[in-house]
Amino acid sequence: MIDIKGIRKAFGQAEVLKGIDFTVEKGEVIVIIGPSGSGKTTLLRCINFLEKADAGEMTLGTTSVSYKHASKKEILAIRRQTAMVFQSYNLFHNKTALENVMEGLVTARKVPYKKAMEIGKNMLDKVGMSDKYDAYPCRLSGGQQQRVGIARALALNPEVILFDEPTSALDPTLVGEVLAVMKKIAQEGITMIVVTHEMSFAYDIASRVLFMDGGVIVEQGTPKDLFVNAKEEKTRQFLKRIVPEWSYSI
Amino acid sequence: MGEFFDARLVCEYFPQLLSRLPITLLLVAAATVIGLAVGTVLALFRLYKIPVFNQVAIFYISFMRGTPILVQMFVIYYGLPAVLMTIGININRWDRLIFVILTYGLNLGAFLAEIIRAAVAGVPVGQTEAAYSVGMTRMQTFFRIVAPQALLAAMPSMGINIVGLLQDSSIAFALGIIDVMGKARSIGASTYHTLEAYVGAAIIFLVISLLLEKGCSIIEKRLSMKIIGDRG
Amino acid sequence: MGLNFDINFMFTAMQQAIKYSWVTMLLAVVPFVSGITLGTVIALIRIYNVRILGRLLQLYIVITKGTPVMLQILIIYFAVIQGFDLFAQGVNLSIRSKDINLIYIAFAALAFFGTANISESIRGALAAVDCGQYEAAYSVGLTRQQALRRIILPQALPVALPMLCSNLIGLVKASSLVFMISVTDLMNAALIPANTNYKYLEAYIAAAIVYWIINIVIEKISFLLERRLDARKREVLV
Repeated sequence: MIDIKGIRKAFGQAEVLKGIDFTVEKGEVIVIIGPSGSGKTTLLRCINFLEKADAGEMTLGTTSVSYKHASKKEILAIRRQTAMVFQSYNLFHNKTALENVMEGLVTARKVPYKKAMEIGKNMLDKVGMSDKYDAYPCRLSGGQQQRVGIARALALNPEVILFDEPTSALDPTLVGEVLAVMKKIAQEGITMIVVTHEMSFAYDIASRVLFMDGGVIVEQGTPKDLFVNAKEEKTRQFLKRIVPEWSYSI
Repeated sequence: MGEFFDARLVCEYFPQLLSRLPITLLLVAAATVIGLAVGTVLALFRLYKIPVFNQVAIFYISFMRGTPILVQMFVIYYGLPAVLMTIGININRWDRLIFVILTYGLNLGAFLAEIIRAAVAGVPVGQTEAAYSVGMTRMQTFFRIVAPQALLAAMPSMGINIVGLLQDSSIAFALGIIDVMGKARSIGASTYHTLEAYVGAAIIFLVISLLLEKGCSIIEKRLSMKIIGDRG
Repeated sequence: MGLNFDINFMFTAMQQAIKYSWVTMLLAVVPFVSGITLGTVIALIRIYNVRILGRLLQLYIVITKGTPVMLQILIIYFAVIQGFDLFAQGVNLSIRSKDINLIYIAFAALAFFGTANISESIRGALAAVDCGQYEAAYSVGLTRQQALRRIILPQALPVALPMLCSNLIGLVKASSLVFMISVTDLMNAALIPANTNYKYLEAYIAAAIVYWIINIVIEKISFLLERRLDARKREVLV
């Protein structure tokens, strides 16, 4: 459903993505792990054109774009089929929780107001924020804001939801509630690409895990394959540092 | 002329001074409107870096912020009619008040331009990214998300500048405008009790300044509540 | 009648203006320096909430910020002149107020105005330093004075710099008002030649340009200082 070929990106002299190919099938949950600086966030942001890759092509559903020559129209089209959940939530400060969820529907997709409100409320209910429709972001905790962020992404009914380290900025006590929501929507069959450090989440939920280092995909496989029987040495080193209990087989 | 200061005279002069308050307030209000318009346009030139206009804006803002308003007032008073005369427009009959309002408006506009520019640039980039990622266009993002937040950020500084405009209006008498200050001077000239007249004027300015500040503060709180739901 | 702009006269006026620009600089710098010294003290008094003095100073600041500079200059001028005359008569001094060099009154008035604004800038800069810094300093046993000198003021300085630059520019512009009390500064000087040939536009533009250049120089110096402070801060981190 998503097919990415040969994506490259350099910031000045530093090449951050060195030619990446990967595919995602509908309903898959892809988790990307790797050390900082490996390019995983850049890869994610290239998918919805928040960063402009230097080379490569992407096919999303029936739309194909070439990164180098993507037109404004094509970029907009891609963005209207994807949705992103940010590390720093990025809820619109000047809109209530419900308005945040409705914004993309009403303004970008021209959905009628009443319908958008219905969808919005449903999504907020789904993430457990039924009592906070009219709350402004400044009144919500980090975990609550992120859940609204997920609802905002869900409401758009995109082909894929991109998660950029969704729990990294959260207080440890609030991480659980967000991961629970993500688990729920994964089980409903939403296609997700998640960049995260939460290894237990990856192990539980991912259909496939990608390990990135130095701008390339070093190894990929099912969670069991990767975490327990990693083929590459680099992968094993990384896992040993992050999750010592997985250095011996389960 | 033995007394140093007669407080009763200050009270006596109040009615005369207050009679000219509408002129002062008109000056401030009209100049604020012009200033907001000019400031917004200039800020847009600067923010979108429109080729020639950006440089002109930088030049203009630097000049208006770097020269005393007294000098600006006379430059516009003497210069504008002469410049317009070369293209055949005769404005020599215009009321001096118009020149004064124009000067203050253009001056305020330069200061507001910088404030607005900083406010828009100060909206966190994450807001724009989130808007793009739900598929909003640049225009939609600007008007629905960025501008309201920028307005809120700019309000305190704008308020300070408008109160400053009130203070600066005291210079208008140099062009012959009889506002509160002008009246104070004429009272002083005719009665030799200049100190009392000036103190009276100072009290009026002080009260109006405090009222204006309070007003701005209330507007900021209301706007803050309306835009981001927080009185903070 | 087209736009006959006499550039030569403008330069003549500018020469006169530049001759007296030292007066303008003095009128700005002297209040600025005294403002920083007094202003720091005032800011500290207000931050530490010293009982009566703090309130009085707050009143002072409200009054200075709520009335036009012009009025402050005029009121101080008349108060000093009339007061001095009364005092001199009472004590039988032979000198009268007309013997006072008016520039000292100008200094006093501009210092009165400037110190308030400067103290607010300093107070803002001190407040911008994270209060955890104060707490950490005290908890390692530094006295209030040591904490201020070694930890707080160095961190407040980069924040204060742009605000102080703007205060100084404000003083330069305010100094143009001393024509009201018959002090000859750069603006007056530019106008003197214009009294004979009525070419006021050229004279005012000449004055404007000189003011503009002075303020641009001040901004540039401030910018360079900010950069140096920033660079030094980074060195320390490494």
